[in-house]
Amino acid sequence: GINAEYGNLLKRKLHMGGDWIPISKRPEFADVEPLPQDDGPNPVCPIAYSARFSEVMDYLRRFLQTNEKSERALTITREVLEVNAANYTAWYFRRLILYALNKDLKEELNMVGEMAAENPKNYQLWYHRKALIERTKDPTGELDFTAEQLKEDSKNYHVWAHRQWIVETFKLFERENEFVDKLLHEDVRNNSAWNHRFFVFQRTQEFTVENRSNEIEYAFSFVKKAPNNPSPWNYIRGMVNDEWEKFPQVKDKCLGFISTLPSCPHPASILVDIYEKLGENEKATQLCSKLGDNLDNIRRKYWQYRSDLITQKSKTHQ
Amino acid sequence: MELMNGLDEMDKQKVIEWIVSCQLPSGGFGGNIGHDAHLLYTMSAVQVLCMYDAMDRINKENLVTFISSLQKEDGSFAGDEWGEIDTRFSYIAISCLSLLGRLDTINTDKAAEFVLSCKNFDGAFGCVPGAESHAGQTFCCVGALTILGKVDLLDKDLLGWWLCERQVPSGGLNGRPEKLPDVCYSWWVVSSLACIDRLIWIDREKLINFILESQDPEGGGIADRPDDLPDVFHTFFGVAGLSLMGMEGLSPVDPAYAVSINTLNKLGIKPVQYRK
Repeated sequence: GINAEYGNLLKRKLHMGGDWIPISKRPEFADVEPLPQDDGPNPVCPIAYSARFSEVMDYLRRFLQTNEKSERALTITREVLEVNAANYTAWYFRRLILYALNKDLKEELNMVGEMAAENPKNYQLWYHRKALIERTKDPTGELDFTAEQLKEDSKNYHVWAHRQWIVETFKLFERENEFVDKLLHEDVRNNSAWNHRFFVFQRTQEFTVENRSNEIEYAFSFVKKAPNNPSPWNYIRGMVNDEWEKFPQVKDKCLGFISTLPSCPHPASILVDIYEKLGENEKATQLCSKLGDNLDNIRRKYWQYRSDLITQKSKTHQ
Repeated sequence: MELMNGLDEMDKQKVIEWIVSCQLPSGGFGGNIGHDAHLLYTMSAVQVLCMYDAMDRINKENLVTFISSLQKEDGSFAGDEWGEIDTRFSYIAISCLSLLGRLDTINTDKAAEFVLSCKNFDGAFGCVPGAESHAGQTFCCVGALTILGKVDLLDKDLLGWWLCERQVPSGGLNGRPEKLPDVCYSWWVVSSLACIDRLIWIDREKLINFILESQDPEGGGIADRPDDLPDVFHTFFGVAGLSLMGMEGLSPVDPAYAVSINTLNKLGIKPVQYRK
C-alpha cells in the first residue's frame, strides 16, 4: 500500500548512499559470520529494515556475542550509529572498546561533535560525551563547543544541561554571566539563558538583599524589549522569593509599568503578589479582576482562585 | 487503544509474547529482542502487561531487582547500568515499583529528596538539580511525588501557576516559556495540574480545540500541532490529555500512572482525585 511505498522511498533515501561499501565486501571482516536478528516465532509488527541497517546490526550482534573489542568492532559501532544514533547498546559497547584499546578520547569527542550536528537532541550522544569527559577529567573546549551548539538552537535542553554539568564539575563559573548576557542580547526570550544565570548565581553568590537587588535590576533592564516575555518577570519573582517588603523598588517599577505597558499582564501579576503580602487586599483583588477579565483572560480561573483566597484570608483576619 | 475502548482490535497474546521475549536475565526490558535493558522500555513493558493483566507471565522478582538496583546514594535513579541520571528515571522506577506493589525495595525518602532537589525557583522541575524547568520533567517529578504520597510537600499554587502559564493564546500548551505549543504537553502539563488538583486553571475549551485541530482528518492520527504529520507519540498524548479533561467516549486515565482507571482498579491502586 501507500505506507509501504513511502517507507521504501525513505529507506532508499537514508541508506543507499553510493559510496557505502557493504561490510561483507570489506576484507577486514572476511572471517566474521554476521548474526541475524531473532524476532522469535511470532514477530509482532516486524520492522522492514533496509539491507544496510540489517547488515551492520548483524555484525554488531556477532561482536557483542564474541565480545570482540577491536578496531573493526569499533568501526561497526560507528556504522550502527550512522543508521540509528539512538542505539544505546552500540554507544556503550563503543565506550568499552575505546577504553580497552586506549583510544584517543579527544578524537572521539571530535567525532561526537560531528554527529551532534545531525543529532543535536539525542540523549545517548550527550551522555556519551559526558562519560568521555568524566574519564578524561578534561573539560577543555567544552564551553566553546556548547556555545557553538547553542548557535544552532539556543534553547537545546541537552546542551544547556551539559554546559551546566561542565561548569559545576570543573568550577568554571567566571565567564558564564557574560555568556548569558550575550545570548540575552541576541534573544531576550531565551528562558534557558535566564535559568542558567540563576544556576550560576546560586552557586557563586550569597542570597543577600544586595546581590538579589542587582539581579532584579538586571532583569528589569530586559523588560522593555519584550514586555510580554515571562522570563525576566519569573526571574524577579525567584530572586524576591516572596520577601517583597525587602525590595520596595519592585513595587515602584511595576506601578510605573502598569501605565507604560497597559496591556502587559506581568507587572499586574507581580503587584497582586506584592499587595497580598503587604495586606493591601482590595488593591490585590481589583488587579485579579483586571487580569482575569482582561489582561490574562485565558487564566481567568487562576485569577479567580487568587482573588477568592485573598478575600478569604482578609476575612479571617478581621 | 485502551482509552478509546479499542483494545480488542489488537492481538493480545502476540503482544504479550513479544514483550515477554524482551525481558533480559537481569530482569529489565530492552526496546526489542536482544537489546539491553533500560528503564525506558521497562516502563512500557510494565504498563502494557498491567493493561493486559499479564504480569504473571514475566519474572517479577528479577524485574524488581533490576529497577531497585538502579537507585543511587543520593536517591536518584540511573536509566541503566551505564549511569545516566535523570528525573525521568525517578518517575519510571517509582511508578513501576508501585504498580508491582514493591516500593519497599527502594529508599522512598531519598528518592523524594532527590526529586525535590530538582525543583527550581519557579516551582517547576528539570532533569537534574539546576536544569531548566521543563513540563516533561515536571510531570515526572510531580507524578513521582504523587505516587509516593508526598505531593503535599509542593507549593501547589506556585507550581500550578507555572503550569497554567504554559497555555498560549492559540489554546495549546508549551513546555517552557516562549516555546511553541505542542500536543504532547496536553499530557505533561495537564496531568501535573491534575495531580495538584488545579486542572481547572487551564482554559479547557481552547485546549481541546487545539488538540482536535491537530488531528489529521485523513489518517486519523494526531500531530504535534495543527497541519503537521501525525505520529503515535502525539496521538497517545492527545488522547490521554482529552481523557484527563473528561472528554466523552474516552475511558478515564490516571494522571500519575498514565494508565486507565480500570487498570488501576484491577491492581487495587487508588487513582488521583481531581476536579475536571
